[in-house]
Amino acid sequence: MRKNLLISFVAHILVIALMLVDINLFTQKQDKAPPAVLMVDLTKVQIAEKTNLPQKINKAVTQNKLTPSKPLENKKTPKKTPVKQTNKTALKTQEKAISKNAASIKSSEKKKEIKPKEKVTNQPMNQKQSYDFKSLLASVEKVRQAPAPTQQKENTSAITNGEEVNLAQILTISERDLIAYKLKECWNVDAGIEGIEDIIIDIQAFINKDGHVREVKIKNNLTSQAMKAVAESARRAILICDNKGNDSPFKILAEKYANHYNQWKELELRFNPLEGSIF
Amino acid sequence: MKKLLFLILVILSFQASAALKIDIAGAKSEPTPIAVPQFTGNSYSNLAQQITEVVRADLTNSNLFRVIDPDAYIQHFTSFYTPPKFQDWQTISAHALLQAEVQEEGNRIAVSFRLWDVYAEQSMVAKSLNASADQWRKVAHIIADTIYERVTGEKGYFDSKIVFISEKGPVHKRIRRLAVMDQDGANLRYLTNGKDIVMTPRFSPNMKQIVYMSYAKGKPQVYLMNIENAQTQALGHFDGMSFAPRFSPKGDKLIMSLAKNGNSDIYVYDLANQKRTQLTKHPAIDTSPSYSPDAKRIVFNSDRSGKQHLYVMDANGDNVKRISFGEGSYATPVWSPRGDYIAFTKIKDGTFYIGVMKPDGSGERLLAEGFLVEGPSWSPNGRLLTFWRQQPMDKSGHQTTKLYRIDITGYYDQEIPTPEDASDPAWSHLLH
Repeated sequence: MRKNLLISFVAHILVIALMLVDINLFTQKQDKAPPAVLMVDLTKVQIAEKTNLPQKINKAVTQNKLTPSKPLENKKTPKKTPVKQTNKTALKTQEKAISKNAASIKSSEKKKEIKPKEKVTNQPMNQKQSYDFKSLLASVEKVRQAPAPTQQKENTSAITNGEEVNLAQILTISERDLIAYKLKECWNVDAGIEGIEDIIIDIQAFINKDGHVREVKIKNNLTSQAMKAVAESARRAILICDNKGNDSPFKILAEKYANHYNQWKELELRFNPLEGSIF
Repeated sequence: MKKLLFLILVILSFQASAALKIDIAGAKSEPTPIAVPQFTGNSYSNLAQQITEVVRADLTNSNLFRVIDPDAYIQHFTSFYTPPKFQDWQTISAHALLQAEVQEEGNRIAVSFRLWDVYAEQSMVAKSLNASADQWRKVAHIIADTIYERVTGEKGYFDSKIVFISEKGPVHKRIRRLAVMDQDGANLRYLTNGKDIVMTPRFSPNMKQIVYMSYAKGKPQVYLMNIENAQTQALGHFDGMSFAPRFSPKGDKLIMSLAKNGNSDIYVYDLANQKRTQLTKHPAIDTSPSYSPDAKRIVFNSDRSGKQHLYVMDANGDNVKRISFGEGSYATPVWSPRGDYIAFTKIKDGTFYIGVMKPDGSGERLLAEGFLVEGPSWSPNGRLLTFWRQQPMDKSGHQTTKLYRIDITGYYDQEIPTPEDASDPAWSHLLH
């Protein structure tokens, strides 16, 4: 008797839980329209109009002398100079490396106006520079010069408002790429770390319904100091991106896929610093 | 009934755990923004300020860090124990924050510091150092090394020295003195008086000795110098010329070239029993030997193929294998302390290059070029190379010769400041 009561109680709880989780899904399914009808140009979809950035941060940024890294840049497709294929001779490798060096220096000064054939100049000890990981090596340059993803060319099943059950299927490739691109822009790794070509970091990020990061867990067993440094930089990238308000990559999910929160409340992020290139 | 319940549970758990997966391929590689506020404490002799400045300079010159302008800092610490307001540091985009204090007592200093991960809002490392006050530069370098290691995952190189040949005077009457300085150019000290020509100095692993070549007795010969008291001794009294010496990784042996009757071969000299062993026996010129960090292999250069190329052999001289096959000629190979690269000088079409390749000869990359660039030497962490670069002769007949260093990535070709011309640099191990 008791056993039957217990089974009945558990079953009721489960049914209630199922209803709570999926009630929206069931109701929406009844009056859905076919996906083909809902084709919308995603260039007209604004995904970053409001900000959740704390007031203090906005205020402080405007007051500060240092400018945080260009928050609006992510929305544009950066112009990239086509890069010549890596050559066979060592001399050409040198010329290329030198030209990339010059180009990277230029780019920091002239905002991506790259002149690949400029000669290297000696720099004083205190000169500050920044360079893009993409221009680290001539041999990997071509792979890395892929333009920033845009939202223009994809189908629009993403806005079918819960029509598809699996978010991985309805999230457009460009949206997925945009999230990855934004995280990449927040991610800074020392390119010269020994064995970096073999390091891949898996991170579990727990996201709140409003798109803010609640918790970040590094899943790897960190077997070396180098791996620890790369893992921490990846974790930092998520937190830096989270701090970017409307420009946060996770806002896309909060704003467009609120009904699928169950599927993005936990993200599995794989960080590959050199994307398999040879260093 | 049970099956139905199980099915419901499976459906629920599947739906709940279907986490979205995203691959992030590639990253930026820019200097890490770090905040280094003025050290707090009871320092009354400006030491806190001086240590802060050296830490900032070390981090900046490494090019792996960008020290954020202190004028931009929102929070100002008055005590080492004041908790950081992380949002203030996130606002100025600092990824890391150094909080430190200096306590002076007599001629002793106690420095406590903590590195914070600003976004994770976690302590990354905390240490306390005690030293005599005149060691304040070393303390600053150790702090910078700790930060470097914690953020990059690799050992630092700030607390290290460079031995080199300081040069002055006209080309035909050049005065060459053995000199040693901190890696940032501070604490320069001359070890010889310039009377004899000296070349290719190298540190012993324990930093107590320097081995070098000198013409003190009319012919090139290898000498050993005690750094503390500058006492020297000629090694081995070999017949013929001895040159290109280098210590083994443990410091118990020297490897060098001996030239007799116009032929040069590689020898190893045991410092304990003063026994020498010939490793190569070839009519070609074999020279510039350098041990791998595990002391199991030796790289050297030889013209046995008709042109100077790099060869690797076992430590006992067996299994000689050529590893360089590019155009031009290769010289002065030196094995990285990390073991992953061999640096070399390359001469091609009248231009000199400093390059690196993997020990099997693959992945050759040329990092620096010049009218004359030569003599690469690795930083203790295998991350940087120092070398010397000579400019073409100017109208007054002077050829400027200076020390440089470059990152293994091929960026940041920087001059190392020296009061006179300088050549033949060799980097020490880490001193702490």
